Amino acid sequence: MEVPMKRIEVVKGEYYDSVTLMLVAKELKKIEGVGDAALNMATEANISIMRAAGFEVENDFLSPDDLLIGIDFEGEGIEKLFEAARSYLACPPWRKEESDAEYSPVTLSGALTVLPESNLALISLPGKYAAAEAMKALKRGLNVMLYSDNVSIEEEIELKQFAEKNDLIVMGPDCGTAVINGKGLGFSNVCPTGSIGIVGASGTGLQEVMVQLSRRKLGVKHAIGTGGRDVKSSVGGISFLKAIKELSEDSEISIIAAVGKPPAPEVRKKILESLKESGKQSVICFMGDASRKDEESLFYTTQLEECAVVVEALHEGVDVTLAREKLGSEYAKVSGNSSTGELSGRYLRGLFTGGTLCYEAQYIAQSYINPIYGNAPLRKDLKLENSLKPVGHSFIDYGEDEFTQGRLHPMMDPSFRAEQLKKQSEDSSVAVILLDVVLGYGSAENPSSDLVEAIRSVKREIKPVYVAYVCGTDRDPQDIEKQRSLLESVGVIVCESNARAAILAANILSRKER
Amino acid sequence: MIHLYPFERSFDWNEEIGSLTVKRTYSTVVNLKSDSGRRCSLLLKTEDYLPRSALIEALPALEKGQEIVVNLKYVAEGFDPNCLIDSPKVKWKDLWLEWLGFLEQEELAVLLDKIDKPEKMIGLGPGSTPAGDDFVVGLIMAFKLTGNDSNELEIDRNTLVGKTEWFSSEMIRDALDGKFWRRGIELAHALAGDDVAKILEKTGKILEWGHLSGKAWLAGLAYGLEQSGVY
Repeated sequence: MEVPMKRIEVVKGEYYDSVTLMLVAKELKKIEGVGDAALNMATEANISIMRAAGFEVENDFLSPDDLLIGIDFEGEGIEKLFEAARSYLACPPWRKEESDAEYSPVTLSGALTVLPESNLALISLPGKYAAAEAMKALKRGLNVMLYSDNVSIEEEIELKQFAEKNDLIVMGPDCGTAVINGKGLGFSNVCPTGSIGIVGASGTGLQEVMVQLSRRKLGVKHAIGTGGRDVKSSVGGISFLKAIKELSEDSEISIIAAVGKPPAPEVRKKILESLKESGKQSVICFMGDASRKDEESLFYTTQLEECAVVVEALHEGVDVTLAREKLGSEYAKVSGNSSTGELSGRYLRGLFTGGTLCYEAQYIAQSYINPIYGNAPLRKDLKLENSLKPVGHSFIDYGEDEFTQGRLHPMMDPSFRAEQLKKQSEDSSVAVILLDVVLGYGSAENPSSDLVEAIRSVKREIKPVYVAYVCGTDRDPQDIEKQRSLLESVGVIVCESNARAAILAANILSRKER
Repeated sequence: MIHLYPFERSFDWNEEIGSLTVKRTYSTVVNLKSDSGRRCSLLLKTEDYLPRSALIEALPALEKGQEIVVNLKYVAEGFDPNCLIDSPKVKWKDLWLEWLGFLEQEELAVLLDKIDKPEKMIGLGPGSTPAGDDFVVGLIMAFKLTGNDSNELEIDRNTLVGKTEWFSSEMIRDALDGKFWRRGIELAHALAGDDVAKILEKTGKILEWGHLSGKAWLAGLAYGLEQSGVY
């Protein structure tokens, strides 16, 4: 019998982008006998992940600029696999597919030579280089969408203050989603273009509102992401306020939606004043913010789907109160449908790829079950010590910085979350697992398939109950019906919104507890 | 003796070249050597046109060293390798400047040390045609395009064969004579015009040429344009 061998090789001082690392790992996994292959930059978080996967990593002399190649191989000749990995890195086999490709400029100056009339630069670089490039773009008179994360707060403030002085906007850092003039940038769903403008300090929050609007036949002209930290006191909502100003001045926009986690009080005050002055009806969804009474032109909501419902009501001239009541009765039905078969275990685990979806789900679930721990919890004291070892009711956002340094975001590469799904499913204390599946441009081609494989491979007599939400539209490239069917084929209950999925998952458990 | 009948040829390949020996065969190209040591090529694709080359419907199985006859009687002229075109427009400068960045790649970094002495670059670097040769050809084209005298580069055409591989030496010799391959000429035309899509397309075509050849060639062209004193 062959003995499985797990070995690590370190390539010192060589940076590779995370897409290349994912593709090389995939190539290696195709080789017979390879049980696992992982290529990660040697950040602390990645070292922990590789250790948790059983690789022995000595980190005394490692830096985040070093590459770790980990291979789990059953058989002899593991050295040849490392050689193959190095060879793929030097000359990726998939590059052949790029023949006949046009040249793409590789510098900002080159790009401006090609498109001199452009007014927006989308910057997606490792965090440590991103701020400098963003500043270059601002100095060339370009607005910036800063897709990169791991940019310091000091750099963010400097960039945003510079932009403000020059009548520009910085969307981000960590701005994964935007729609400008109906065109999606970054992670974006294929939605109709219309008269709604959105500003959001969140990525999947924007996506969920746009998807819910799309399902109600409403389109978005601009959806401006600001990055989550924009609404903190230190940044002061510079980009959020600029975005509201831009949306206010756009005559084609009839309703503004403002979405995100609750801003700092003084920033919230400025945002509300700005929205009042906009002269347009505005729907505010600061999830978890204390509920407020609607004012003349401001309508307050606390959930993303509710935000879309209120926008729809305003757009159609329908009574907002009635629309809310209708949604409430639908949610009550979801709660009522929470009877399931035999339930084993006590806890709910939320395994998310979307940060705002994770936040919203916690916010909703806490009304039914408590406490809820997480790597991005609602309260600081509920933060997990180790995100790879959840306890009790836990919600994990696998898109957090700790999981995306030197590796792909889980919306692009679902494999890591799928591994964790299997692991959590085999934990006998887990009764219900809540998942999000985010579709659209930028997301994996077939995100449900890894989850389905993971669920199929679970070795446990009574598997947990799985509840999921597929955030997407029927025009997204992944085929939403196929994604739903795949999940349902392994018994996953698929809900119509993130809020409904969270209500159902939490209710299944709270019923059991009652 | 095999007789081959191309249907189209470059302007500079005429019947005076005489008998030819197969030097190297590829799937879409055969390189032939004349008695006087000049390279001629038979091609399947128009985009591969280069000095003294001809298009043929299909390539028979040929072996290295085999003697062949290429019948050029009544064959139409289809490609002019002479580089008689306008200078690149200054508005594309930022684009060609980024091609110099190719020299920062580890495999091409060796060329940086010799960048001020083009004659020392001949035969230098990796690749089936040494990357230094590709750089030099790009550089010569820049000299020609900007009206500078390529003699200033002090490259002795008579000693090329001893310094580098035969195919490369022919490529450099042709360049000194003002003759270039089609892809390079098309990029030069694009840079002299206003159609950005064409520039991106033609640059992409050059980058398809070998693992490093296209990059080295573009870097040479960019370096030559910057050294020309025109921009």
